[in-house]
Amino acid sequence: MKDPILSNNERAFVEKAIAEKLRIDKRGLNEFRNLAIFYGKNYGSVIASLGETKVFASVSCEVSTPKTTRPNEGTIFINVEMGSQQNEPCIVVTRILERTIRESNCIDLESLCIVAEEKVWNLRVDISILNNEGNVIDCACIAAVSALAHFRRPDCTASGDGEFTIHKSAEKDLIPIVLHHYPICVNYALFEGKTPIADPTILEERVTNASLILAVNAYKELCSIHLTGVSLTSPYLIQKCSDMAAERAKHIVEYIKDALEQDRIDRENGQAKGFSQSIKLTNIPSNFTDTQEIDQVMDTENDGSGELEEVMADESFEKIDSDTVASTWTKEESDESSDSDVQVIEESPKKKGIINVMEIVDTSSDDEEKETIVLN
Amino acid sequence: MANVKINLLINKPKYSAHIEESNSRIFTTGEVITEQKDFMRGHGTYLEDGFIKSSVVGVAKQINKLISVVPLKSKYVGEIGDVIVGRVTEISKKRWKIDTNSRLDSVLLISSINLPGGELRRRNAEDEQSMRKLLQEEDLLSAEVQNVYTDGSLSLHTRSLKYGKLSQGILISVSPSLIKRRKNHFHNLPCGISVIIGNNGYIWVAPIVNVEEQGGGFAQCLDPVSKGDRETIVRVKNCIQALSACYVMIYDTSIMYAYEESMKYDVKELLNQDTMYEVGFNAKQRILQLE
Amino acid sequence: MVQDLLSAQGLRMDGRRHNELRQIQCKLGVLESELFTHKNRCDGSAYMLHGNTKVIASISGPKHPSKSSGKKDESFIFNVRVKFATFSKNGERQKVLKNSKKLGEIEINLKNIFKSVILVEKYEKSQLDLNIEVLQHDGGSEICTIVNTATLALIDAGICMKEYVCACTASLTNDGLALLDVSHLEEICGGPTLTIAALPRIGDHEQSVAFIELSQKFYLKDLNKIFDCCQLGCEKIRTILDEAIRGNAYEHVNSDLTSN
Repeated sequence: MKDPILSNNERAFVEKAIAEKLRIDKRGLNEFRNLAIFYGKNYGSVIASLGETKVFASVSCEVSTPKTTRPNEGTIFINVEMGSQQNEPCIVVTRILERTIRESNCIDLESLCIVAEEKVWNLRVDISILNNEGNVIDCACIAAVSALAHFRRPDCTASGDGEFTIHKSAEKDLIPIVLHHYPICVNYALFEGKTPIADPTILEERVTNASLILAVNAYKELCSIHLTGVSLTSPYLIQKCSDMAAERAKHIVEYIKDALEQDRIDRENGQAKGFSQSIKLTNIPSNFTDTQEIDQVMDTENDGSGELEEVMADESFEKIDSDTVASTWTKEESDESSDSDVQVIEESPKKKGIINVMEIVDTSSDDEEKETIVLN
Repeated sequence: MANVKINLLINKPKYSAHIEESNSRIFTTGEVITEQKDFMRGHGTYLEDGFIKSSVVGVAKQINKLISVVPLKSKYVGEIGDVIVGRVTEISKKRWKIDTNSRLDSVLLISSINLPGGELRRRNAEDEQSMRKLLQEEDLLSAEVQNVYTDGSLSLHTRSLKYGKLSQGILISVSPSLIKRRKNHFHNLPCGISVIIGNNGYIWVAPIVNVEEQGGGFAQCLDPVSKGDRETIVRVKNCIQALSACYVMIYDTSIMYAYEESMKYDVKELLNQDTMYEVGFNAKQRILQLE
Repeated sequence: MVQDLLSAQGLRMDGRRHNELRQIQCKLGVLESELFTHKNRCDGSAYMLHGNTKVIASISGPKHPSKSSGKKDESFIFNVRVKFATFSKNGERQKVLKNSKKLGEIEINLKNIFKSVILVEKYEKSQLDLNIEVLQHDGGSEICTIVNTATLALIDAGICMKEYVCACTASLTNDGLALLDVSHLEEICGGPTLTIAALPRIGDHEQSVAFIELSQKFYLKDLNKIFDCCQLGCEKIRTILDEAIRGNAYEHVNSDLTSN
């Protein structure tokens, strides 16, 4: 699929607006879209959404031989699927995630060793971009990290002389992966190399073509920096962005931890909802929903950001309004009351997005079957 | 026993280091040339923060208020009236695409050639179809720049008996900045061969052919060339390469000087790097003495 | 895993001080195309040795776009191709992955870096090919040598650019001292490595960074230190490149180009 042509008028409009510190969706320059994380019924499957951008991540594991250079460490493989889009953005996203997750040593790979030099666990993170409305990298990173944190692998015991047994989930509890820290990518689109815009939409991304991606963890450690696209920036700006990114990362890590905790409680109570909660009826594209309803939603949103604008207007974007940040991260309550995914489909067969989700749920359960085969 | 001579990739002998020329200053990429506002920026420069900066590495040149930097090595930038030697790369409707060592391929319109025998063009489909009979892909020709389009590509013409298809000879390509702009680029050298020094850096060395006999410039003369002529052609070719290796401006006099300097060597020996530099350097010395 | 990268005497594993570069040698115009082949003629080339990394870069163009290069929407077509020689690592013959993600990433990065410094508007409708051959490579920071070599090759070809692009790496010791120009040995010892490509002189560091890459993590407060170290390295590399370029240029100048 080829990107539709971006007209010069649109480009000029966005650029001018940014020069006046205005964004086309009325956000402040350092304001992020709503983040939501939904855990699937299987361990290690996550849908993260940032505004309309949706990313699905699924972690699986299998037993393989270690690399000769690191005989007592497990391996991790990251694969990103971007639908039928071109190769280039896919490579960029994959490499940034690899740098962020693999090269920052956030996973305790030594704990994934079964028998040194012979058998280790190989983790595989499959990431599918379900919908690209800009800032895929942030969303993909959040999805990948929370999927890893959510994942449970089967326990196994080594019994000397290279023999080992892998226990089924019925025999022994599954055990989580050890994560030392949660690296979070924060993407800033750069306009003219000077003005950073947090969480760019697809239109903004296409206008500027340049962005600075910083991966920071909650301990204010910088895990990776990446300057993509055709751009020249100043070191001062990088410093400034990294401070803002650290702030943002702290909040997101907290949010992921809260979501994990919530999921744990839900599971204990046997109320795990799966992906059905990720479907919001109010959020279905306009050709489907009653326009009035959308207007209402828009109005309420405008009211909310109206205050914010006043705050942001004079003291541009260096200041983060913690209240608004907190409010944007509140998990949205889903109107969905149905328990099973199938029902949802019957209700609204026209919604493409849902069918996608369903397929993925299916494949992920397939995966599990495969896994069990491997384990046996 | 094979005769093997190994040349290491070492620094070239610094023959040229003896001659100091203080007038010409080298500007490197990004270097500020001037901050005065009343200058105009020419080729090889760009404007930033009110400074005129160099965008290439080369020698600054000032003509009145126009400042430009001539890069040491670059593609050919055409000017109207230049003599060029080129190669046909493509035939399309009503035009030939010609490679002239410039950024974009040049065009030779069928309307800007003289048909063989001074015949008038009939402007019908037939003569468009017979274009390949005149010039095929990979054919070499000499021509003159008629016009420079806004995108920098050139339009050529061959409306003179001296231009046209080239038949037998050798093509040498050197940097276009080494070609000296002169009134005449067609020379019959005293050693009995002819050279066409194209402004675009392509040089054609060929036996002397009577122009009148060619009739319109698109017939190819394939008469046998004598062994002596061939040897002279190769010697001239090697001399031009020696001059180019020593960064000596190339024009009829310098070629002849190099030719005379080379006489004490066998043609084959001129391929030897040391001999090449010696010939080039000696020719350079003679040019400087002349000045 | 992390060893001390700096001895008590303030020397590194290969005997350098903390702010010292590895040996750099470079040469312009190493490939000459006497052969008259239109399509892939080499119009500029350079060779660089940096520590144990050896790279040859060659430029072909600007030229008429070839039909196969397809993309018609782009006004300036810039192709980058990077190849690692089969013997490039440790001198052993190894299978080199073609079209791997890592290679793809380097090519994308190079494309972006140089598109931001080449005066693109002068080369409308043309095609420029940059070919990189890594003869020997020493560690993961080969992109910095590749960038420096490509800069030299572009200058040799007489391509209009805003500035030299210089790339450099820096690392950090356990005591928080920035180390310039990380070698392979130091890299596998586990320190963080920051790579930047910068335009060392453009007006007071404003808009001067074209590329950043980081592997491993460090505290945010150290960013300034390590960044300054990188920039210092870039400036040092710039002087080395400048020297090579001027040395090469003087030979030409004696042929009085100005007489035209």
